[in-house]
Amino acid sequence: MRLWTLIKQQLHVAFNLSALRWYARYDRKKLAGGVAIAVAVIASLVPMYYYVYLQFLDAVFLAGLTIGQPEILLTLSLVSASFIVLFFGIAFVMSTFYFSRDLSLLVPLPLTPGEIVGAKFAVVLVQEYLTVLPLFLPALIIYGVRMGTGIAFWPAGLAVLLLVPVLPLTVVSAAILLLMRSTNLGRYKDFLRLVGMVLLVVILLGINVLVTKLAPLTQEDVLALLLAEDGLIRFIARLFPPALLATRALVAGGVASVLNFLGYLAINLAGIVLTLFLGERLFYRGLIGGEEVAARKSVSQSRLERKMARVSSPAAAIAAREIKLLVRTPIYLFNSIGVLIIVPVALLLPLLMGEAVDPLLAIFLQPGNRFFVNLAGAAFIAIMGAFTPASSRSFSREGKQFWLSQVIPVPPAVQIRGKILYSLLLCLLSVPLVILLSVFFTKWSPPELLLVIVLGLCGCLPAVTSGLLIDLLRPYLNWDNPQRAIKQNMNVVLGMAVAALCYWLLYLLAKHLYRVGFSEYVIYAALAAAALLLGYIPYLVMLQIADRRYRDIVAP
Amino acid sequence: MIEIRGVSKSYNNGAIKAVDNLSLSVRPGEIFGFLGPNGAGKTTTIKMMVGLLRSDSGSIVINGHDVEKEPLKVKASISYVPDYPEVYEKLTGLEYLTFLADVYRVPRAERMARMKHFLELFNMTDAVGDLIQSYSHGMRQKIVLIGALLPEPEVFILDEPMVGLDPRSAHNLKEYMREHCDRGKTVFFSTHVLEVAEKLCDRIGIISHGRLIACGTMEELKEQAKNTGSLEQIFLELTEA
Ligand SMILES: Nc1ncnc2c1ncn2[C@@H]1O[C@H](COP(=O)(O)OP(=O)(O)OP(=O)(O)O)[C@@H](O)[C@H]1O
Ligand SMILES: [Mg+2]
Repeated sequence: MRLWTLIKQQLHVAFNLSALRWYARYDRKKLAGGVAIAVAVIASLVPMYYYVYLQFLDAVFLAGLTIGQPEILLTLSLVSASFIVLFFGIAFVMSTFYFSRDLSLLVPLPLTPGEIVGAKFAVVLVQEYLTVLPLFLPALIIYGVRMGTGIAFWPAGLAVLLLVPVLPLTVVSAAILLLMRSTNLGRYKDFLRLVGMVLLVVILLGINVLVTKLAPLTQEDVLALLLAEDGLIRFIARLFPPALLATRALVAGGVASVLNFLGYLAINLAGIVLTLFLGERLFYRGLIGGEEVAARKSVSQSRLERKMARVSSPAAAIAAREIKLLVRTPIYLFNSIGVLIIVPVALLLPLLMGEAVDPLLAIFLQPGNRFFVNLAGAAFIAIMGAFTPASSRSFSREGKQFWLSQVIPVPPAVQIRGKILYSLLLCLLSVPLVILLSVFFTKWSPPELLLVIVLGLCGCLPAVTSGLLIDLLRPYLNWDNPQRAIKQNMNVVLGMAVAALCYWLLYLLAKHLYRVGFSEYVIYAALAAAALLLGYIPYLVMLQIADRRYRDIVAP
Repeated sequence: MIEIRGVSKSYNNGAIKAVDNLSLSVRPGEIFGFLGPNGAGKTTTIKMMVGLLRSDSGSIVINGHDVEKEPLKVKASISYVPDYPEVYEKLTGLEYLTFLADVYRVPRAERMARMKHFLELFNMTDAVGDLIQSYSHGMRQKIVLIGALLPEPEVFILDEPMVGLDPRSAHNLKEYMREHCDRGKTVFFSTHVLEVAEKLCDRIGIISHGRLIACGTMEELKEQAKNTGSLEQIFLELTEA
C-alpha cells in the first residue's frame, strides 16, 4: 500500500504532526500558547456562528416543518457545504497539487503521478473536513434531535458527512488538472492560470444560475413545490443533484435509504477514480516545466540603465515589492482579487436575472432612503476590504524571505507603513465596483460617490491595521505552499473576526446617532472619525512593539 | 570592526548549547575566516551578528554600535549573505537589486556604477532582467552577493559564500574581499574550504561545540597547535573529539 504510506506521510507534513509531538515533549509552553490562540480564535467566532448560522439553520428547519418538508434543512446545508468546498477548493487544490515545496522531492521517487495526486487529494480532503464539519454537523444534529430519528440515522449521517467534500473536490481537482495541463505554455502561464481560475468560478456560478433560470416559476409551480411531498427539496437539489441522494439516504428509511446511499457513494467513488485517472495522465504534463518562466528577455543597455536609475524611498520600495509579489503569484492574486470578482458576480447575476428583486430594489432606492444607501455603499467597500485580507497575512507571506526584512536598515515602523500603504491600495480595488454599482443601480451623484468611497476607505483602515497587528504578533513563516500562507493561516480568520467586531461597533454607533436624531452629515463624520480611531490604535500598538518583534521573530 | 564578548546562545530552552561564551574581535582592514565542523555554531554566531537571532548573554558591537541597542545603525553599516539564500522568486534580478539599493539608500550615481561593475564581474548582466525563479543555484547566490555588495558596507558578513560559485566567480569574490579590506573595511566569513581560509585570511578562528578553540594568524595557530603543517592538519588536530 504505497499510496497509503504516502498519504500518511503527507498528512503528517500538512498538519505538522512531528513538530507537534516535538513541542509536546520539549516545549510545552509554546504548545500551550498555540492551543490557547486556537481556542481564542474559535471562541471569538462562536457568538457569530451561534447567532447567525445556527439560528438560521433552526429557522430553516421550522419553516420546512410547517410545509411538511423538514428535510430541506439537510438538503440546503448539503448543497451549500458542497458549493463552499467547490469555490474555496479551487485555489487550495491548485496550490497543494502544483506549488508544494515537496514536489521536487516526490517527483523523482518511484511513485506514479496518480499516487502523488491521490496523496495530495487526501491532504486537501482532510483539511476540507474542517470546513464541512461546522457547516453540516449542526444541520444533522438539529434534524436528528428535533425529529427524534432512529438510531440508524447517526451512522448514516456520519457516512454522508465524510462524503460531502469528496465529490466537489474531485470536480475541482479534475478541472484544475485540465486547466494546468492546458495552460502549461511558457511565458503567459501565470496569467492564463489566473484567468482560468476566475473562469472556473464564473462557469460554476453560471451553471448555477442557468439551472435556476431554466424553468421560470409561476405561481402554480410554487404551490406545487410546496405541496408535493419533497418538491422543495428536489428544487434545491437541482443546484447540486447528488444532494438529493444524500438527503434521501438519510431520511427515506429502510431499503430506500441503503439504495440512495449506495448511489451517493458510487458517484463519489466515480469522482475519485476520475481524479486519479486524470492525475495519472495529466499531472506531470501540467507540472513538469511549471517552474520554467519567461525565456531570457534580452534587456537593452539603455533600458537597463533607465531601470537602474530609478530611485525611490524605502517605504515606497517596500510597497512596490509587495505589489509585484502579489501580482506575479497567481494564488495570491486569485485570493485577493478573486473575491472582488466572485462576490459581485454572485450578487449581480441573480439580481440581473430575477424580476422578483426589482420591487425590493425600488424600495431600497427611494429618495428618502438615500442615507442608508450611502452607508450601505461605504459598508460594501469596508467589507470587501476585510475580505481582501492582504494585511493579516502580510508578514506570513514573506515566509522564508523574512530574513531580508530583518537585516535591511529600514526601521520596522517604515516597513509597516509600507505594508499599510499596500493594503489600502488593494482596498481601492473595490472602488470600480462601487462606481459600476452607482451607474446601474444607486445613481449616486459625484459628491455622494466621493463620500461613499472616502467613508468606505476609512472603514477599511481598522481591518487593515488590526490584521497587520495580528500577523506581526504571530506570523506563520514556515509554510510549504503559498496557499497555506493564506488559508491555513488562522491570522486571516482572526483578522476577519476583529474586523467584524469593529464594524459591529461602528454599526452600533451609527444606529445610536440616528436614533438620537443627528443629521446625516454628523453621522458620516462621526463614523469616519471612529473608523480612523479604531484603525489608529492597532497602528500605535505596532509602533510600540515593531522593533522588538522584528528582532525576536526567528525566520525559518 | 567587530567585537564579540562572551556571547552565548542555546536552542530549545537550553537543551542545545549552540554558542558558548564566545569572544573574538576583528579589526578594520582584516579578513577574518571562521572555521569549524558542521553544527559547531558558525551560522548561529553570524545570525546573532546580523540581528536575526538574539544572544542569551554577552554583547556584540559592530563599528562601535551595539547590535541590541542600536540595531539600525549596525544594519546600515553591514551587509550579509546567508548560507542558503532565500530570495523573492517573483522579482527579477534587477528589481531585487534596485530594491536593496533603495532600502540601503544608495545614491543614484553610485548604484548605477556599482551595479554595472558587479554584474559584469559576476557575469550576471544577461540574466538580470529575468525572474529570480529562473536562476540556477549559483546565480541566486550571485544575485544575493551583488545585492550585499551594493551598499559598500563597512563590514561584510558572509556565511559559506563560496558554496555553489563557479571557479571564476569564487576567484573574483576573493579578489574583491581583498580589495575591500585594503580600503580599510572588514570581512567576516565562514567557510569549510581550508585552502581559501589559509591563503585569504589575515586571521582565522576555529569554533567547535560553540567554543572558540583557536584564533589568530596562521603563525599563531601553528604555535597554538604545536604543529607546523597545513591549516588542514591543524584543523583536524584541534577539532578531534
Ligand atoms: N533552529 C534551530 N533550532 C534548534 N537547534 C538549532 C537550530 N539551528 C541550529 N541549531 C543547532 O545549533 C548548533 C549550531 O548550529 P549552526 O547552524 O550554527 O552550525 P554551523 O557551524 O553553521 O554548521 P554547518 O557547518 O553545518 O553550517 C547545532 O547543534 C544545531 O543543531
Ligand atoms: Mg552553517
